[in-house]
Amino acid sequence: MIRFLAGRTVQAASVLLLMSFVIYGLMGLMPGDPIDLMISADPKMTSEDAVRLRKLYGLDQPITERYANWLAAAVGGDLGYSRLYAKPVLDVLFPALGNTVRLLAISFLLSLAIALPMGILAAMRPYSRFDYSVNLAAFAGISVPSFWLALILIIVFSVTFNLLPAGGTGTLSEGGIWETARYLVLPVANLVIVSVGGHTRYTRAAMIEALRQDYIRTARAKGAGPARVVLKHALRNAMIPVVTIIALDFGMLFSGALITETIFASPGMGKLIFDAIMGSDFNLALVGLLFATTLTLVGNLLADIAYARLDPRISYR
Amino acid sequence: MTAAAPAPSPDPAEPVLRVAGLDVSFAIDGGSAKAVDGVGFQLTRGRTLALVGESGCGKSLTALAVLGLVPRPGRIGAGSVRYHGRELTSLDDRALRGIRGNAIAMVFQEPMTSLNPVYTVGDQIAEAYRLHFSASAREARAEAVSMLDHVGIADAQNRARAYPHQLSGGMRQRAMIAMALVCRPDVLIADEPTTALDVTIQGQILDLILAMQKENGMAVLFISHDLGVVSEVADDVAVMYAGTIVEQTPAASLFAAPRHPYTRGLIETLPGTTPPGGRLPAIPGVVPDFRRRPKGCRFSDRCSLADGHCRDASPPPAVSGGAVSCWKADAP
Amino acid sequence: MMSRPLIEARDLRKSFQSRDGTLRVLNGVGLSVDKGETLALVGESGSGKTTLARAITMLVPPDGGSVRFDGMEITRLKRRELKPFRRRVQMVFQDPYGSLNPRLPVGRIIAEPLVIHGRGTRDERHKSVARLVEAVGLGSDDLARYPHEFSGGQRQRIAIARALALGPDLIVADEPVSALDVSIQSQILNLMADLRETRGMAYLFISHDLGVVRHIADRVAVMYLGTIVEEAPAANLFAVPRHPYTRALIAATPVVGRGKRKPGRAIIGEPPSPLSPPKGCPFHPRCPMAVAMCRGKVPVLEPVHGLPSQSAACHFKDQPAPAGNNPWTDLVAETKRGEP
Repeated sequence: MIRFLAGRTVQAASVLLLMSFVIYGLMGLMPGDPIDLMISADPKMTSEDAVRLRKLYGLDQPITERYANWLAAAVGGDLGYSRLYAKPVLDVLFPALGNTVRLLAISFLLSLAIALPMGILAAMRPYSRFDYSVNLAAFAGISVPSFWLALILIIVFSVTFNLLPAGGTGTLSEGGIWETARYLVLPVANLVIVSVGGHTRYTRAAMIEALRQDYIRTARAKGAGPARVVLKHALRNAMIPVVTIIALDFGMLFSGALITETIFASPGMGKLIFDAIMGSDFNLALVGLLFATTLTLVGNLLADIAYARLDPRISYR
Repeated sequence: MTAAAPAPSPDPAEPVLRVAGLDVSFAIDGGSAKAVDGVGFQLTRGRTLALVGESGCGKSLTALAVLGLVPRPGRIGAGSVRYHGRELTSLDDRALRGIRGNAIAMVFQEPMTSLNPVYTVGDQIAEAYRLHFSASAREARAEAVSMLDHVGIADAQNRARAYPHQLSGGMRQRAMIAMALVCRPDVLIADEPTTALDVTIQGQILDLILAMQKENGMAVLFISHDLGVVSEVADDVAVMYAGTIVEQTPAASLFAAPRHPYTRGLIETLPGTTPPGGRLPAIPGVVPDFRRRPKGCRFSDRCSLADGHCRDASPPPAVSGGAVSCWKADAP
Repeated sequence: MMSRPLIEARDLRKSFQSRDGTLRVLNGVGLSVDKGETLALVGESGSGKTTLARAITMLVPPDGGSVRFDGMEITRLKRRELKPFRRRVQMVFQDPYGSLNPRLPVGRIIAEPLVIHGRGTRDERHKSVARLVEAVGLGSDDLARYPHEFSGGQRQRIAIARALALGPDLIVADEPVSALDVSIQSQILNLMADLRETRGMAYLFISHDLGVVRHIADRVAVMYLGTIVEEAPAANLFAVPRHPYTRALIAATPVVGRGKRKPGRAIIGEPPSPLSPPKGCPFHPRCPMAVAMCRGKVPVLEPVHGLPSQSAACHFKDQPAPAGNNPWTDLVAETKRGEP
């Protein structure tokens, strides 16, 4: 188990390293650099100033050189400053990360809490009216673009009925838990609606497959009742593929969260990265994207552990 | 759930299980088709009845019907299944669950797929025990280990902790048998229990089933497509073809003097029974699909003896010992 | 007929790497098939018989050893150079459904080898396909249908027709009748015998069913744990088996008409894992005759004294078989050994 985890951590670190290079390179390919922005913001700056500043910040060096310098600093724990917020990037990122993780965790758990029972019930009576309804709803959720849904939710619940805030966030100190929760309702609903359909369909498909297996017949022949057959014998087997697919989907959910936060003006990673890119705050964007990558990698690692725990045929080697 | 031990039969010659007029039907376009049609037989204490036939003849469905486990959308259309005189077809699922695995247990063909891959064999055997007896987890565990030991698994204490994939095919089938027998059933249904196994392992498993039967006197319904295996274990044989039993008789007389042309054909086509080389006698054609069976006798389209009468009228099914379902039985 | 065998394999070796170590599937196996001969390869699952078939046909190139086909060494040929060999050796598999492309009509399936090897014009190919389906007992109206519309036996006929298309000298048939019902099995065995009669090709017939093997084979090779333990003309093998494993297989084969089985006839134990084969004779852990020598010294496959056409890899091969347990020789004495 320790070896397995160590191996996977090394693997994740290499992915992260590769991603940092790719993202750094992409940033470098973007038109304009911070100095251009300074020039446009400050008409008194001359082109000599610009050359001097470029040299000062090392922007005149080739990109590989700059990357190497950045990497050396980053490994040493110095992730640099955010130009936009004029703070160390970590000070900016951590609160945003907290918000995003909270949004993701609530949406993810809620989606599973709906998808698992729905998928199981639909699989127990495939092609029944209930199954058709579940499928229809699931397809509707899958088909809806999340940005469009977010706007509709805002129009209906914030503008027309004025029930919930359209964006922003509450803080515990101001309005207590309920006030904070009110700000989360629409973003969470948005994410749940777009992800629950897929989760339900995976669960249903895996359960139908599991319920068709010979060991289900064996369990029934032993005298096991329907609840035991479904929840003990079929579910655990069905969860093996479901965990894998949902973990792969986690990246999707994450990018959904980024869009959702941007639309609901919720101060999370999504909005931060968006603002950083739009404001050419390269360092913040870079580190933000790497944090996002890490989050996805951690999600996948957790899924691998869950997978190996569910299936005794998988050994940690 | 605690189920009372099966009531002892007052008369030892009284059948443990009596099946009569059993139909299993499936809805098809504009009606229904009987995959099992008018099957009848009885199982007696300490004896083995083999249900033999080719794939698709309805033998497995018959077995599942006895336990009320016909897969959807099939259903028992008619007939009766009496266990010690108690009608099972009219029982609700809850009452049937008290019988399944307890009084009537079943062993399946593929021990790899028939065992749940994510639980240890010990857990699966213990579960079978706890479903029918009130026992602590520890007691059920001990019962499972002693049962594994009993079916010839060395180092049962440790093997109980193994997952199915960690055991060989023969071991898995022993574990399946341990699971079936842990509640001391008085009927064991073995559905092709050795078909997936190598021939040397098959012999071991057949010995095991016979030894267990000798020990506790259970009645065995042994389902197989392999006449060779059947001849090694059966006291009585029922030959199924296209959903009905066409011949039913004690094993010795079936193999010495088969009366139904299909039975004769099956025995003659076995490569091991004829001198080597040359042509094997063959039954022409294929087993008809249960939705498109010929009119009259179902075997008439493949039978060399069939005449107009055979193609018009079905002979009555062979529902008891010594019976044959053929207009031309005993024809030269 | 020439004295040179059609195909001759010597000292074939093949290992696979698995997570748990090296699986030695073939440990120096040799066999030969003459023109027009049927050699049956018998063994239980894991004995290596399928790997052997694939190694001799170069579907899975062996790690070591030699295969000569019609006098030519083929193990060192390049892919392209193997093409003439591929034409002359064809395979038929156990699962006729898995080996037929479900999306092609039967006519195209059977014609495919002709197309691949660039045989004939479209018209000529049409005619040969028509002859082939007739030869295997199907109708010309079957050519436009798809594999799923056929029963298992008919699919095996299609697979055989495809194998015949290029007029091969050898057909390697891997459990060709194991998945079929008995009444269909005899039809296919008859077909294979008829085709051999009319076309004169040889078969390497792989099976676990001794009844089938006894019926169709001229010679039989018995495999156990990656080696051939006995090889003999079929009549000899069944009458005077000289390897205890062969005897165990014969004894274990259920045959109609012997009456209900007597307990204790089964051979003990299970085949050892190819990951950790036993030292000495591979069969010694299960062998009723094993002595200390068997645990230390690997027996070599050598002709049996007085029976030059029969070879066995057993230190006791020259002792006649103890009586008993042979359904085909009807010896009645039973060895008394208990269950494990």
